[in-house]
Amino acid sequence: MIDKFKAKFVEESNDNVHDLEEALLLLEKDTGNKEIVERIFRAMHTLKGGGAMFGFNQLSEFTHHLETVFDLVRNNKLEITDDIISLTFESIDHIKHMLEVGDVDDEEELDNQQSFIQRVQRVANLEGAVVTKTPASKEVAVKDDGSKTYLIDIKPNEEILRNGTNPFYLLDDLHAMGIAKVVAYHEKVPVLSSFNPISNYCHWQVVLNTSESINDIKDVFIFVEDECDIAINEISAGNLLTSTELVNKIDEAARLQKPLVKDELAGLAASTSDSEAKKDARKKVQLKEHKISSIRVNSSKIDELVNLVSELVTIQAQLNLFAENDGNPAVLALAENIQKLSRQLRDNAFSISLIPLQSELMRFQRLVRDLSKELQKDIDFVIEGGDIELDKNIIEHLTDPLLHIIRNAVDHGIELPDERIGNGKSPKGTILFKAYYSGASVIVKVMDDGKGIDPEFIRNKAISKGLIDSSTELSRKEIFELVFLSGFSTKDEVTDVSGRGVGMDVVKKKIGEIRGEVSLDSEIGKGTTLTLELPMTLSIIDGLLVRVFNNQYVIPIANIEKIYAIDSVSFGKTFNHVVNIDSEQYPFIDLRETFETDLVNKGTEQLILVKYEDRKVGLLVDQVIGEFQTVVKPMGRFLKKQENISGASIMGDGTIAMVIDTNRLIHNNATKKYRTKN
Amino acid sequence: MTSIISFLINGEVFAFDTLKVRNILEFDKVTWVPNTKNYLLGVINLHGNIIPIADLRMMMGTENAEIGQDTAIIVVSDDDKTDSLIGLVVDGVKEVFDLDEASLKESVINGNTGLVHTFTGSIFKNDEFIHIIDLSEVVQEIEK
Repeated sequence: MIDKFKAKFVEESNDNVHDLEEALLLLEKDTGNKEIVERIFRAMHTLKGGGAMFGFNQLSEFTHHLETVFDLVRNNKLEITDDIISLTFESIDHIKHMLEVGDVDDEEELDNQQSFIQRVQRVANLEGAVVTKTPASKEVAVKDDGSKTYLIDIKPNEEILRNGTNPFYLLDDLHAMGIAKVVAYHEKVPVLSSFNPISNYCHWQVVLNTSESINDIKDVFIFVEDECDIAINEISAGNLLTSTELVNKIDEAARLQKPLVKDELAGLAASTSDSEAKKDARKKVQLKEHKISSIRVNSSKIDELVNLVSELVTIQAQLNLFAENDGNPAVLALAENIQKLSRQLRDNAFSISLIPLQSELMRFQRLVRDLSKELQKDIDFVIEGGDIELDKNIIEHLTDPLLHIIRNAVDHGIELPDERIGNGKSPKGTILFKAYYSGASVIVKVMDDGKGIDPEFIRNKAISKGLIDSSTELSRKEIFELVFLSGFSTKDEVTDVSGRGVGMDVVKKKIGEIRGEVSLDSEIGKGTTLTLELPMTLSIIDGLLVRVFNNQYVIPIANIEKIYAIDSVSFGKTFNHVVNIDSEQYPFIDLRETFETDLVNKGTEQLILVKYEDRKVGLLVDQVIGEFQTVVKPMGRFLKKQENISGASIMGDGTIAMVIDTNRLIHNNATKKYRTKN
Repeated sequence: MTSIISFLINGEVFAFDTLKVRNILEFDKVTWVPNTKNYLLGVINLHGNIIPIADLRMMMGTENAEIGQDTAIIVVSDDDKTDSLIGLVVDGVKEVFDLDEASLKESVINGNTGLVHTFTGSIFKNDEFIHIIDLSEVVQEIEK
């Protein structure tokens, strides 16, 4: 079971890492772009949080250090330099490696990791300082980082100094790329009497270990190409400078002024790094095998597929009709086969894009369990509506925000058992995760019965953060909205769990990306409720097809309590516009009236009792046709104003049935009708 | 050079920029949507998408516009998104031709009764005036 989660985490993290790399590449071109820094920071944050959750503790620790660096950048305390970028790239590779192997206890690996962390920390410690090139650190002994060792011959001609070129800058640049050892050859320097101070008599050899490509090394010499003889030769993969044999050779070359020969060094490499090369190769193979297990497809492609399939099903229904009328048995058989195929195709296409919420909920359960243990809280995580199906794309966008929300509920919401008892509550806190359809939307609520949030506290905090002016008058609702502003986070200290200011603004942004909305409500001492309203563009709902006047409508089955034939209920001549069913009175809405149709067929109607909040309300329709599973499509921007209808379904024969948003319908009517508590 | 598509409304000729036009359909069954403006006739299923249909003739002030053999739906989009596709009902589609911008004159509006007031301009062609409708105003009106 745990392995399943781990695999999922690894899969997602690989995406995160991919995103990280992409962002980093962008940052390299545009080092001042804060949005990209944010993006990088968030990706790291997710890696960190997820890593800690799924037992990748070393990964989490490592990412934490890296995150610190970008937190400084984010807060303008550190400037992005090429060194930071290169180091981050290296780190990403390391993260990939850690994702693959998980936590290790191999000493060599641990050393490797420690030295890496030290490097990252060193960058973080430069806070405030103007960051120049990080000198190559000699104690770092990276072996499996994909770096290479080069032998570089630099032979400037005599004239080079006349152009103002200082060859030492070239050497500095090489030092900045990795670990370099330089041998200077000065055998050509003449006696002082014939020494010309503007002529160059030296040449150098550099043994460089770097993860940069050979082209990057060439770039260093781009302006001196004409004045130098440059030879760059790869002598080995990995860091050959760790070999004492090589270091001795270099020292010897410097002493004897006898240049190093590339083949000799290469031979050295073969003898020392054989085993490592094998290790590398093995890792690469594993990586390749990993990647094929699932593919990611642009959601627009899936949308298009589903649309095309819907159309196919429609045409196929027409074909069936034609074949039946035609009566030709051959055509009939063909039509039947096509029907079978298109049905399978439709089911397949839909199943690609829809997954039940349940599949993600397990992760949250695990999160609550682990986190509450760590924080010594006692929490019950209750799930309602886990079978709700949502677009895969939507669920994916939902995971991160929900992780944040639930983490917040556990970390900040629910109190410690003692505190709870002190407040007269049960020591065990409850987090209720509730999902349900509301017309063409899915509502997800995360409710905790914790200490709640004081609106005044939020207000003061927003003032202190400069988000609002101290004189601004805000309603209760507006105050809670402040939580979603960028730069607002209600907990100052940094915890391993719920972040340092990566907060509700991210949640709002993520939910906004899938055209959803998020709102917060809280009562001091009672708890906090976060409500997400999500569209379900492609969601399939189980609906009851009904007819009102000449139109077909779909009422989501989840909302329906019971259906009555009209003669079993009596519209008593009551003063309060209610219907009597089984000695109970319910308010009702005549849909034919609400939809402003001509009332025909009075007497043959049926009454559908639907749930609305804690009440039940009757809906009067002309006829109940039956139960259907339908795909809800949006009505487009021009019909958004029509609140009673939240979407439409295309039936098998191509006709359209509109989906009634019973919650809105009843809500809109409630202002007109009298309320009765059930 | 822009190409425009001309169509008939109540005996007069109007036109749109062809780049905004996605489809031209025969008028077929439209599913009526309750609680909407009068000129919104309902929705249709176009290639699996739900497209609202507005009667442009009613918007232009034509009363009791009837559905005849030539009645057509021009599906347009002002910003190229599926979400903003809308079908407009006209009495009949005439032709597509290249607009000679030099011959474009300012449209003369004298207290019309419909909901559409903004025109890109008018041209005189084959003994009749063709008024080019500004689509964005139509769209805004429907969305209001």
